[in-house]
Amino acid sequence: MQARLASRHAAERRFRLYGLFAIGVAVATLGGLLFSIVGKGYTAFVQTEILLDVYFDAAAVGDLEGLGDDERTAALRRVDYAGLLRDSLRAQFPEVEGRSAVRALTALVSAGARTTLREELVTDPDLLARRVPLWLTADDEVDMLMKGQVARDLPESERRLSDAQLAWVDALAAEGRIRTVFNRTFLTAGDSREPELAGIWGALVGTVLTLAVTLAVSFPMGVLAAVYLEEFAPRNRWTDLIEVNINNLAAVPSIVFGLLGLAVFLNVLNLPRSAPLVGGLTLALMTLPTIIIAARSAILSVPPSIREAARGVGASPLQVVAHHVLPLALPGILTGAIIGMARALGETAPLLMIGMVAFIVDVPASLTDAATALPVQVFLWADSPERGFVEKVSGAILVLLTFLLLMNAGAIVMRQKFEKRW
Amino acid sequence: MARVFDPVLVELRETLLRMAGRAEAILEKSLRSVWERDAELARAVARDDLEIDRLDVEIDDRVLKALALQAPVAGDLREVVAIKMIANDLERIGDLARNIAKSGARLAEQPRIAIDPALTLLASDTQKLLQQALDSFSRADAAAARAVLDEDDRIDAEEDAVISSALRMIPESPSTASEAVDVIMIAKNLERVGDHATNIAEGVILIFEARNVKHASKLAG
Amino acid sequence: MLLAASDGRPEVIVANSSTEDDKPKMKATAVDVYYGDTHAVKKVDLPIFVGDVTALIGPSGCGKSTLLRCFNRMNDSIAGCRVEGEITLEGRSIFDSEIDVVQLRARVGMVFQKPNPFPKSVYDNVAYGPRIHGIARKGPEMDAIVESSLERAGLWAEVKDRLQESGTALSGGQQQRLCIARAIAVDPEVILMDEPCSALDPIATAKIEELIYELRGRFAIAIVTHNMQQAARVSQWTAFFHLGELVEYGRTEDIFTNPVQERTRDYITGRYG
Repeated sequence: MQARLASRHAAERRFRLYGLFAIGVAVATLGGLLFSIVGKGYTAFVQTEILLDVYFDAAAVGDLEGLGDDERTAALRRVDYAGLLRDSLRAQFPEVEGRSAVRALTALVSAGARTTLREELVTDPDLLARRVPLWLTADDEVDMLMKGQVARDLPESERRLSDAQLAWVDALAAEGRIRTVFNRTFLTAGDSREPELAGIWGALVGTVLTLAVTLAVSFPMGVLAAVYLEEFAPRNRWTDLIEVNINNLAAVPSIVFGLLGLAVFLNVLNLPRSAPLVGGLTLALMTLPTIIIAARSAILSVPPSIREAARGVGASPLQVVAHHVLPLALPGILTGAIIGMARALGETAPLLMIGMVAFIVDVPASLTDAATALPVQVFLWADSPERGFVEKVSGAILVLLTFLLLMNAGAIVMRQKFEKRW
Repeated sequence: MARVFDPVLVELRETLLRMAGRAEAILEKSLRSVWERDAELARAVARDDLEIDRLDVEIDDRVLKALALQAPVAGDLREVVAIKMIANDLERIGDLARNIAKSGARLAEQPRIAIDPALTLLASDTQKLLQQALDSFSRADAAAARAVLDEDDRIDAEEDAVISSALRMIPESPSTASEAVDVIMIAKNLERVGDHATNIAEGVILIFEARNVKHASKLAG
Repeated sequence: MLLAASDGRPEVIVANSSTEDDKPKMKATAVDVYYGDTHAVKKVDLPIFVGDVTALIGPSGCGKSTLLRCFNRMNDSIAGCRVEGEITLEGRSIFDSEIDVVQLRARVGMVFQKPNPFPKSVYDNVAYGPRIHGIARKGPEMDAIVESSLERAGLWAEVKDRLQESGTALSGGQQQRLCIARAIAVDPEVILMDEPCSALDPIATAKIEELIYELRGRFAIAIVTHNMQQAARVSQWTAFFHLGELVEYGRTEDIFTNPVQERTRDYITGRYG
């Protein structure tokens, strides 16, 4: 008897250890994953800049005398800023001679610096004929160098930066003309071929628009479908068939929904390709079964005594559902919505099928503009060869995870608000 | 559900008290018919007894309903049962009063003889005993009921005195033999009224002390 | 007969019991109820009078609850349940196609076995019925209805400072009285009670029984109970059911002092089974 008791206790301890071990493995894996992502991605949020004394040569601009405002702005826009940059760089390094060397020198600064100069001058034409110190975005190779991603000890032929370029960077650093600052561009700009100019904002907006469509379509439809199936539909073979099919749909691979979206929304309905509208609709199809299943479960968990009480007082079936069942089922329904939306947030395959994989530079402004989504952006950047995109991929994943966390937090707050005890 | 049972009990009590009042009244009337040689009064007693019988049946009905529908327990139960017991005694007192009245009617036809003062004493003591017993019920006074139990012996002694005195009179005055017999019968009936008053007191003690003291002396000895 | 209350509660006017010649408020005639193939209630005739409490007693599964639920057509929502026969409310059939079930349930209220207040505030629980039936609008009119319903259910004193608290935070007995207040709030003509006390402790039960006794003056009450003593205490008419049949129906005092049918006798004296 004692022996049996002892062996039971031992079994219990073992079981608990197994559980702890399993949790430990899960936590460790998760932690490792997060650690690696954060490690690789945090640098995406900083950007190297070079301080350059830029001389806004009046000669390059031409005569602005007597021009109206619009004509003046147009004139300022037409200036050869690349040339201004080149000249300013050569002023910084007067010893550099020769076309190829000069080209190598200008390559240190990002192509986007031209835009910076233009914006500065257009905003403040008084800069003309003045030498102004400006912090300009460095080229992605310099950026990578400053972030320690480039191995200096490799032979020159295997490096993207030549020895000369390295020397110039070091010289600038020695003068304190190189700094690393918070990378606002990453969060405010759209995609770009140049890593140092690429940002997540376009994809973020695309994701928000797409998910908004998904939510707006799948949530009401899913809840209403669940309400109908649970409260009003007669129990017969047809409704059983529907239930089986819904359960199966929830397990269908998401790419199939992409194919469906391609076939129906794009080919038959001729909706604009790559638009959040189409993406949202496709993801809505995918999310619908999840929401229906969760909503049905939540509705089922409302005790029948509440329904009886409501009917006994003379509530119509609609009133029973609207006043009693739905408010009590809402926490469960919201949980299902969270799960569904989280899945939709991370799905890439269906979006690829409907074309949200193009290189989109502009931030989408409406539901029918071409757009891309965060996971697709991650996919695209992962595909790019530039070293600069490596950190951007992890950075984008961090943004994605943060977005997910915020979405979940919002939904949980809403659920807490509606939580009722019975 | 006390709020509903209480009126049932209250009505039961009131019916009993009405019956009690009539029992006292009928005893008084029957005794007066004897002392006042009033044959008319004696006949009225018969009618009064019918009323007591009717109340007895009413109490039967009420008690049955109270037990069946309210299922009383504890003091309520004892009270309902004791009320039935007391009603039985009151009903018997009514019958005894009728007997007394019959003797009274017969005495009324005879020339006046002096009523043995002992009988007068017996009659008044019996009435007092009955009154005490009924008062102890309406005042819920168990001590007063116990006092009634103590008085019963005195009634018995007085009855013996009347009977032995009457028995002595018969050979002395044979012409008044039938009156003497009636006197004896009245005395006997009064003694039984006293017994019933004692029973009533025992019922009161059952209700308020939860003790059944019936036949106590006999059962003890 | 007036019972003047000594504890400040309103006086109760006990209505004179109806006689069998009075017209009943509701009447079931030759009612059969089938669950699929099971014949649960067999050709039952049962009147329900205003001013009286009618008790339906009998062993488990004898059909009394099923019959009760026919009176407010709660059986409509049970799949496979078929009701035949006639049930009238003030002479008019409740199965008439012109009758709106929702309206019917405002006139024939129900209290269930397990107290089931809505998970809303006490106030909203009572106000719900009048609100959906358009009996009163939000504001002082509704406040008055809520107060008087809670008062008549004997709950006002206990909850008047807690009207916004959840109905489910009350004790069991209070919850059931809340359900009664909820049923009363729509001013029904009939109240059906399906074993209202079986989930309550004796003190809560006693309070509900007193409440039922007080309410009968205004409504026609039918109560299903498996507690015979409760039926004896509370009702004026008793119907004994067995295996779906109405075995005996009559005045409660007669049924409990001298039942006619042997089955009734056996059940009441506890010699059943």
